[in-house]
Amino acid sequence: MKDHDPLRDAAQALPDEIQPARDLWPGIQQQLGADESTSPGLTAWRARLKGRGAPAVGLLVAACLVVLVLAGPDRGPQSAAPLDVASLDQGYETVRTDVLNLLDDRCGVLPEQACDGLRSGLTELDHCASDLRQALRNAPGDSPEARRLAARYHRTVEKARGLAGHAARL
Amino acid sequence: MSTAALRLIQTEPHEPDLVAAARAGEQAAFEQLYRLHVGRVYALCLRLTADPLEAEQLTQDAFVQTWRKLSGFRGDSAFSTWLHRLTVNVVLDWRRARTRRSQHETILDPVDQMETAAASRPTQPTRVGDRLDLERALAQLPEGARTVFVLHEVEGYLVREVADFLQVAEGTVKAQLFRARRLLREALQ
Repeated sequence: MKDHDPLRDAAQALPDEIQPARDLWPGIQQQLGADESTSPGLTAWRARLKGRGAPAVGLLVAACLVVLVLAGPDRGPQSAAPLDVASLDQGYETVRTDVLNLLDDRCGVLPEQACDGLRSGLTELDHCASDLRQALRNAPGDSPEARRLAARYHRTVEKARGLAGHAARL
Repeated sequence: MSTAALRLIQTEPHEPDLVAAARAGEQAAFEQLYRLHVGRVYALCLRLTADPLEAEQLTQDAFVQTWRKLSGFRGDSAFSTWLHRLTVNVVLDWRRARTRRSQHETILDPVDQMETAAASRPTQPTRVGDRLDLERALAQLPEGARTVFVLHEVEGYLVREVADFLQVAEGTVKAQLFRARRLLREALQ
């Protein structure tokens, strides 16, 4: 049996739940949509396929190749949904404008160090977003690489949103 | 049972049903699971990182990972237990990756500095209760000591389980716990 310990009692009395300052679901939902391969249904399907062994996988790959050859290079709507990079660009710009407006409003009253921190944070995120935009332009349209880049871009937008939220709370 | 309680049970979504629907790819069901558990997941991330921005990001990462790994959830434990362990691993993986990719850190440094600046400003002249004192003292602990204290004393994991999470010996966990308690007592006195 554990000895009575006020510190342990206090730790165990801490609330189980703390709500975040903003709703995180839209960011999660966008990440789920950014990579269709993350669907649990698809993952379960893969697991079942793995259980049936390599011959089944080989047959399926061959069947897919035949379908791709027959369908030709211009498959259009049969391919996965295109990445919505434009909406990420727009999202980033919207949040960036929010941060800039907040900086205009708050920098007169905030300590200089806090304001400089916010500005440098935004500059770093700008560089990050710019690099990702450039890389996305060079990445093949609907490749896994493009999806990964889009997911990272989305995270950058989320970080900018977090920065805006923090600036608003200061 | 009161009518109100009965109505609550009837309208409250049954978690195993939500998990099954989410496994089948229904994002609406997954959103309900998110709403049910976000407070607990965020609290864990916040206490482990002591940084609200990182905690928000890691909470999102934890739910994205949960979605990806739902097919591996067999229901041997409660969904919340499984989600909780997954969250701990997400935070610890992030920390290991952060250590490896220290260059990447520069993106967050200005924000961290800003947080530090904000934290060092005088607090509002309100009465701070024991709970907030403890939360504040926890946030000031060195990362290793904070992690073992949060996982063992707040979240209730056994020393052996904490050692498994951190991939260290149980003796190391006990030493960090001892250090954490000493530092907390000093901070709270």
